[in-house]
Amino acid sequence: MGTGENMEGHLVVRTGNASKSPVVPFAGRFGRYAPEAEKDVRKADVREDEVLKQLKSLFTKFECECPTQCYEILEGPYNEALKLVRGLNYSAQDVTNLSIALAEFQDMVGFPKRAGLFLSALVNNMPDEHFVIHTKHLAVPISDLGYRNIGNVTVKGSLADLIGHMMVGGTMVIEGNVRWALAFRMKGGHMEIGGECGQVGNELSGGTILVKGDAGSVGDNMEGGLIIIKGNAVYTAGRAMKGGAILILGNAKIVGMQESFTGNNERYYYGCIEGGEIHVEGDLGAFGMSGSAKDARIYHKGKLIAENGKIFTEGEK
Amino acid sequence: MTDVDAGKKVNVAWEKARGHFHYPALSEPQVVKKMEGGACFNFRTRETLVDETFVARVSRASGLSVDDCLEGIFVHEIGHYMAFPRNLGTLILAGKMTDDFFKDQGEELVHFLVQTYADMANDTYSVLEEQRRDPILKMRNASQEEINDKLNAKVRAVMLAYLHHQAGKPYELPEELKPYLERMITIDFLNDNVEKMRQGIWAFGNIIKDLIEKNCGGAGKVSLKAIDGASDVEIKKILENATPGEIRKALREISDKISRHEFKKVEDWLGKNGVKPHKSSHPPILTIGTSEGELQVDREVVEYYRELSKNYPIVVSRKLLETDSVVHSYSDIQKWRPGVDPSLALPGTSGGRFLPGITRSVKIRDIPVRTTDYKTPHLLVIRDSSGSMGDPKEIKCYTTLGANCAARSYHLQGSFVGVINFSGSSFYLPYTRDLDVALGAIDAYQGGGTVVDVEMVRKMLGPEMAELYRNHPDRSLRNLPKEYLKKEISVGVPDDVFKAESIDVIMFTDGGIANLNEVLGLFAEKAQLNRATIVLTGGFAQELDDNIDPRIKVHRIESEKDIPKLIIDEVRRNLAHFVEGLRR
Repeated sequence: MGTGENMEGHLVVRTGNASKSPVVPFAGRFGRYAPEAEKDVRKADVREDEVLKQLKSLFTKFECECPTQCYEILEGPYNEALKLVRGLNYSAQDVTNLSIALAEFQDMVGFPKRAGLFLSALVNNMPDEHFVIHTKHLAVPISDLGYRNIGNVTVKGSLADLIGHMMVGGTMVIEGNVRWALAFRMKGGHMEIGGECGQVGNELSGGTILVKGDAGSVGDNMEGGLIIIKGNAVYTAGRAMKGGAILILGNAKIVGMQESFTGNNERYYYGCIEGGEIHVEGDLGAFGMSGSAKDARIYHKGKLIAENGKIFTEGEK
Repeated sequence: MTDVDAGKKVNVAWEKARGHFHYPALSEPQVVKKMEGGACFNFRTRETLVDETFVARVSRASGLSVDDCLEGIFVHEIGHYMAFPRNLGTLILAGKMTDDFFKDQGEELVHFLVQTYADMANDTYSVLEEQRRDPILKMRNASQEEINDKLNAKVRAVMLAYLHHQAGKPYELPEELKPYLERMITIDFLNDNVEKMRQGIWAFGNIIKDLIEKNCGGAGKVSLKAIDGASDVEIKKILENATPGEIRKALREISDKISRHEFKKVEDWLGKNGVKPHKSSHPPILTIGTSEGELQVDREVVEYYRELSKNYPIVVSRKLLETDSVVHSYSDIQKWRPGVDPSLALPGTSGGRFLPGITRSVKIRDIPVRTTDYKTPHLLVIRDSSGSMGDPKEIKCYTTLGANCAARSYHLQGSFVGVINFSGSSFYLPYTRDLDVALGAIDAYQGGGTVVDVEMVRKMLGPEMAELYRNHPDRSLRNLPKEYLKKEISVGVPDDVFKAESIDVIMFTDGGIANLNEVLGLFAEKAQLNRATIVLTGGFAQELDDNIDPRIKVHRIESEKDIPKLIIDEVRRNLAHFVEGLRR
């Protein structure tokens, strides 16, 4: 048998002794194998949520370069965030979705502050809505959430530092803990946390705060507003307080002053209360009041124990 | 139909379904008379169970043949093994994520969501490929026929419409349910990224929650059945039956995907669900003797990184080194004299004649010759534990992980591991075979400045190492009195550790080293002899670029994804050496 091409280029086959060609018996073994039929493979149609995509893109564009611990220069980055989100068409649900998606960006430099200020801007841009923000899933906790807050926010999880900083109105309910500086320089609104907090209501001038767990220092330099601690005040309460009221339902270690030690390890107190009211319902450690205090009162288990610079001993008033 | 016929049908459908997935190694399915749910895949035993009555019921209600019904069920169940959740770890993670978001809605909804999300991910994977598309859709359509209650029918209609959409097939969905379908299309069920899965579970849960609220006025008032009535990924039951070893393996499966923070939360979540993760019987604090005295390391940290490092095997290439064995050689000659074995004579030396005193003969004399062989060297890990690296206890530290991977891989080959842990000050751990101790020294975190004690490195790399012990007799080494220190070394550490060429040195750092030039000088010097390697993590790579000697091998690891590249580079380099050897 032979094959070849004719003048037109067609394949021609000469037959004749084809049946005499040698047959390899082993070849028959492969007879049952055939090329695999090609199967159609589709790609999953996933249409990313457009609003979420836009919010994520804006978040990555948002540059927030300020040291973690500085209070004063948040205004610039916050206004930048406000500018980015102004005019954007989004809903409270989109902000919740963003809070879930933020976990993708945890490795970013300055993530806690960046996330907190960006979410604050989104909330304050639509103050009539009720926002739910999830943080349980985040390895890096968010800080600065609720900066100049005027909206209504529920946080499902814990937060880091400077929460409700300069809050003006609205409501913030935090179901977890706050590491440090809750409601620093808060002016109005209602703040509630389900867990514990390192420092509450420093320089508070208005609004109400409810802490369901323990708090570290409570109402340092506060001038107005109300703080209720359902747990214990484990460090100080009302240090250099000038107005407002603090109610501690648990125990309080040091009330109306700050404790410190000299170089010779001698204990001394300073920063005494000058105004406002403190009520302690549990056990009370030490307490003090400035001699020049006006309109200042400390109550222990319902009894007035100090008023306007005068400390009442047992049996008095 | 006889039992034999039924058995044949099951086997045919099983093999067909397995073929659709290119025959995964799974044991034969078991047909049971009655079980809760229709079918299930047991992640612990890798067994598929199918309920005979469920198959009969679906077949009767829908008119679908028993063969098609079985094929669809098997494709679905094998899909759990092949697509989602694939392993117990992913299932645990999905369960924990769902619980985080929807715990308030009741346990029943959480269970339903985990089950149904897994079903949807699995079936989406199947409908994208032609060979699995029809069996799944036929079975899904059939099971839709036997639903009686309104809510379940609506939930499943949306899911079915989604599967048809992905399969590119038409499906009539009532107008009121179309927005839910649109929302479902935003979910990336097949993305194995943890964050995408979290977002998917969140979006999916909200769709179901909204459907319930719209149709029944809230969760807790309804009873939801899983998409096929089955409970094949019922997490609570699986967790109840899992052994501590299985839980440990599951945790290892997810440890590389999630942060350390979340890993701890998963452990807590398991604890709340009655599962006690495998805990070492050793005390929680691991005490190791270092040059700085006794160092205490949290054993939980050591165990976490050891488990995590099992996900990343590192290639350790062997090196031509002297062995301990000798071969004997007969190489001397002497004058042949009568009485000496004539077979040893070399008559060629005397014109073909045996001439005593002139003819030479072979003198049998053993000359030991030391041999060389390809051996795995010992390892010196130089680990940066400065403040910029982050505390491995708090975060998933890739430097610590990389050093653990290297130490484990060398240890596995029978090598000794020595450690220098540097920050503001350095401490060293003598070469040891005790992996826990070596990993403990690696995991220890100092959190100070970044200065490498170059002298210490130099001494750990050669015979001078003994000086380290001699010069610091005051330091407690493994609780041994100083007079035993030298003895301990000679007994505990093989002689070749002190040979410079038998030690590989790898430094794990993020750069930013105060005495960088000094360190690079040393590494350039040791580049050949000790195969000096720098593994750079974090953002300081640029700093080295200007100063680096080309002889120093540098691997840059910016993220987890770069770890496999390190292995590929190593393999490529070793193959190149091998090919070069063949050419010669």
